[in-house]
This record gives sequence, C-alpha cells and structure tokens, in this order.
Amino acid sequence: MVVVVIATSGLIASVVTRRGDIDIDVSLAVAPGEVLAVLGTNGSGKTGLILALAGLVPIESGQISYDDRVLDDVAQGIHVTSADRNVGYLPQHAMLFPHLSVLENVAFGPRSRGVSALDARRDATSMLSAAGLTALIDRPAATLSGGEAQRIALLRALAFTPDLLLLDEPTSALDVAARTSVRADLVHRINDFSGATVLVTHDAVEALTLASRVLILDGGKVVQEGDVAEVVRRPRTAFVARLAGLTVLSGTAREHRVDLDAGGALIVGESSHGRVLVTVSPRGVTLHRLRPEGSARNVWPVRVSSIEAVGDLLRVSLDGEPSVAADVTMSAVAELGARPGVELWASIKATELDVYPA
Amino acid sequence: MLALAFLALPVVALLSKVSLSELPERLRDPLVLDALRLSLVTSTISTVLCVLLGVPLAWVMARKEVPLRRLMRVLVVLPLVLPPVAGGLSLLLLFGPDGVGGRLLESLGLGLPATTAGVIVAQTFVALPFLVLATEGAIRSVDPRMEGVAATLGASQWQAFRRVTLPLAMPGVVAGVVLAWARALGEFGATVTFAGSVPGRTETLPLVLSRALKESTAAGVTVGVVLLVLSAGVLLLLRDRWWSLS
Repeated sequence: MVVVVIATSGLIASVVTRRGDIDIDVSLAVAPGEVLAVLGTNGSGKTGLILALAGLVPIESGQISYDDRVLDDVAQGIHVTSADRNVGYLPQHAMLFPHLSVLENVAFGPRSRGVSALDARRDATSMLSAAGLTALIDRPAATLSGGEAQRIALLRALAFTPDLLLLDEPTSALDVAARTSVRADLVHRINDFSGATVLVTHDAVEALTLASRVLILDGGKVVQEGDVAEVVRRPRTAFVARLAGLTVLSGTAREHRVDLDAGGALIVGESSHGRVLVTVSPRGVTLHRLRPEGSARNVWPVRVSSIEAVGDLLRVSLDGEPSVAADVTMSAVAELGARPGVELWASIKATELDVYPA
Repeated sequence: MLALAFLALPVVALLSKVSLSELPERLRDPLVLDALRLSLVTSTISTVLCVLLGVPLAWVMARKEVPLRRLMRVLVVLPLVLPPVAGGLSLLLLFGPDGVGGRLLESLGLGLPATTAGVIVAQTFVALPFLVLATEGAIRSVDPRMEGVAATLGASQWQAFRRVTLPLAMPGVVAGVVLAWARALGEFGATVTFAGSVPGRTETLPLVLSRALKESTAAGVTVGVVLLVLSAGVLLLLRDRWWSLS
C-alpha cells in the first residue's frame, strides 16, 4: 500500500512488523488535531500497529516520526523508547495501577518525567476536578468500575500533554451504559487535544463518533481508506460491510433494476448502468409471516439461518435471493415465530438501498 | 488427615516435654542466649543479602529473554535439592584455606571458615533459592502490560520496576523473604560443615540444639522450643499473605 504523504507535521509512519501470525505492513499520516480510526477485526493487526507506534514493540522496517522528530528508523538504527516518545496510550482495559490511588495514577506520567510529587499531585487534582471526578481522587484504582477506570486512564494518558494519543479499543470492554459515558468523555477530550490521535477499534460506531478519517485493516494490510462516513456507508468489500454492520451485494444495474451476482434482483431508488455495489442496512429490512401487500418494491421469500443480539435489537440472518440480515425487536421475533429454519418474507423499500459504482 | 497428624504430632510431642517451671531458668543460660542472638543477627543479615542478590536475579529470570535461562534455573534450584552438608562442603572447598576463593580472601586478610561471616555465607547459600523462586513467581504474576503503560507514561525500566512491578509483586516477595529468613534461621548442615561450631561465633541455635541433645533431652527441648516459637512467629508474619491465599 503506497500512501502519498502530504502532511509535513504530525504523525507519519510506515510500519512493517509481525504480531503472532500476522504480517503488518501499514503506512499512515495523521495531522495534529486529526483523529484517524483504524478499523479491523481481531487478528487484523491493529493492536500490533498501535504497540509499534507506542514504541512498545520494535518494527522490522520502516520509519515513524512526529513533526520533525524521528521515533523509529530501522535503516538508520534509530529507536526512541516508549519512555522518551511523549505518547499518550490508552489500553483497552484501562490498566490503571491497582495499588495506587486515582490521584497517583493521573500524576504518574508527570512524576516519571521529573515533575515534583507536589506539583504533579496539584496538577492531577485540578485535572480531575475539571473533569468532574473529584469524588474519585482518593479512591484506590482497583475499586473503580470499568467506565470510571477508563475515564481515569484517559486523563492519565493526557496528563503530560503528549504529542500523539493512541486509543486501543477504548470502549470495547465496557457495558452499554459505561460505553456511552466514556465515548462522550472521549469526544470532549479529543476535541481539546491539539496532537494527532490514532484510534484502533473493531466498532464502526466508535469510529463514526470519534474519528474523521478511517483506515480499514485486514490481515495486516490497508484495504480501504477515507472519510469515515463515506467508508462506512459505502463499503467496498464484504469485510468492511460486516464491520459497518451492512450487507454489500454486487450486481449489474439497468436503470432502477440491479441483477445480483449471487441471484435475485433488487429495485433501487437511483438509476444507473453497469457494475454496481448495493448496500443493505439491516434496519431497513422488514420481516413478515405472509407475503406483504404494500408499498415496498422489493419483496422476496427467505429462510432464517441464525439470530444474535445486537445492542437492544436482534439481528436475524436470512438465506434467500438475496441473503441479507434484518434488525428487529424481540417482540417482533416472538410474533413472527422466527427461529432458524423458519420461512418468512423480507421486504425493503427501494429508497433504503444505496447504490454506487463497483 | 493422616498427613496432618503426621505433621502436627511431633510438634505436640515437643511441647509436651516442656517443663514450665524449668524453662525460664534454662532460657537464661548464657549459651542459649548467645546462640539466640547470633542466630537472629546472622539470619537477618543473610536475608538482607538474599534480597540484594536475589531480587535482581528474579527480575531477570521473570522478564528478560536471556541465553541459558534454563541453566540459570538449574543453578538457582541446586542449593534447594543439594543436601546442606554437601552444600557446606562445596563452600569449604571453594572458600576454605585450600580453595581458590579462600586463598583470594586470605590475601586480602579475610577468612570465612570458623567466622560469623562464614555462617552468613552458608545461610545465604541455602536460603537464596527460596527468595529467588518466590520473587520470580510474584513478578511473573504482574501483567507485563502494566510495565508497558508505565513506559509510555515516561517511566524508565527502573522506575517502572520500583513504582509498579515491585509493589504489585510485594506479597510474593514478602513470602519469599520470610521463607528465606526461616530457612536461614534453621540452617544446620551447611553451617556446621563450612563454618564449624565455635560457641559465640558460629554456634547458632540449631547447632546448640544438636550439642545440647548429646548432654540431655531436657536441655535440647529448651532450644527446640525457642526455635519453635520463632518459627511460629514466622507463620504469624505470613498470616495475611499466605493463609488467606490458601
């Protein structure tokens, strides 16, 4: 993957490294003030990438630099250690030091960098009270809830005003309520942060809420890159579509009709010709016990293959022409008697389908 | 149950032989008092030496990819499986008057055998493995990602060890310290072989116990009880670290 690097400040990295069985080969550039999301499943190499940027694992070849400062350059034998990098790192599981108080955790970075204990504690205290977390100051870190711990870990990572902020799946280990509050906190902090931010996640919603640009990683390589909303709305591969919670179908368009490669056809709102991709959002798909009468242009028989929980809804995977997924409520599933193997009718409005050139 | 009885009954037998009326008088015996003082001083110094030598070694074994790691482990465990008398003999062959180390020390005007320093060397030799193994296990149980986070916060390797790893490993380190101290306190074989049995200088409590037994059982019981009380004290020290864990 060749990236034309326009930015002359901020983070510029080309990383070749190995983590487990994955060969990682990624180039990226993030300007100061910008948030880049690296979206990928487990085993996509995103954790290896973030550890390399943090200086916690050496890279095999390539360079990493921030502004004018070279952090890694294998050819020249340069490797700046994590301690000397000025990188704020928020790991997935907070990793607060459990034997220290909340205050000492937040003061840890400045103290390690030579700030006197007194000053570091005073600064940490004002940081915590500014964040509305005064009540937690003297609590042992081991006694915090997951959401609290993650918010404190974020403050700890920012307490020494790093150049670069690295977020490793910051909300994936949290329950739904904590996730919302931590995400709100992240949005707020990142807005105030003047350095470059790299967010690694497998959650498309997280990428959408926090980042402006996204890079899709699969098997250690970049498979798609661009504006978050664009990438999530119009995935180029089934892999990206799955990450975004969408079904992407390929086919040939003739005006409003798209004949799908995998069988079946869909009527779409937009007229086009030639090879196209059609994305189907599970929220746009409606299920019926009997063939529905009504305004939907696309109606076809399907068979339930599996059902899983997605947030407050159930995602029903359907075999048919085409095979899609539908997000429906629990009560709808009960009413439909939807179980694997049950035959139903699916429908979707033409205007719910997004069509774009393949 | 059988195993528990097997472990507990000898202690009961020892305690049943104690004559409470004679105990205070026997305890005032200067021979016993001197030995007690010597034992406490030497075992404490040995434990300090174990910590100074053992903690860095334990850290290297737990955290570093060093060559010959397996050989290191064998060397650490060796004093544990070696009969103490054989350990004392090995020390004597190295540091004795005819040994390479002994001649070196002699040229500096130092000699270990038959000195209190020799007792400390013998005790450190047998107690060190306890400290190293307990500390290594404790360090291993600390998530290495904690140290990674400390590094990104600007902590040097030493700062990360002192402020994160060591405090988190502390319960295990304390257990190791207490075990090493107890082992040093009870040391007999290596001490008697290497340092000899010189009253007031190298004759620690276990050595006095052995000699007292040759005179009379009653005299031996006194010393035995003193050792038992000290060991029980060790168990009390371990109370929170160990009993609750099991």
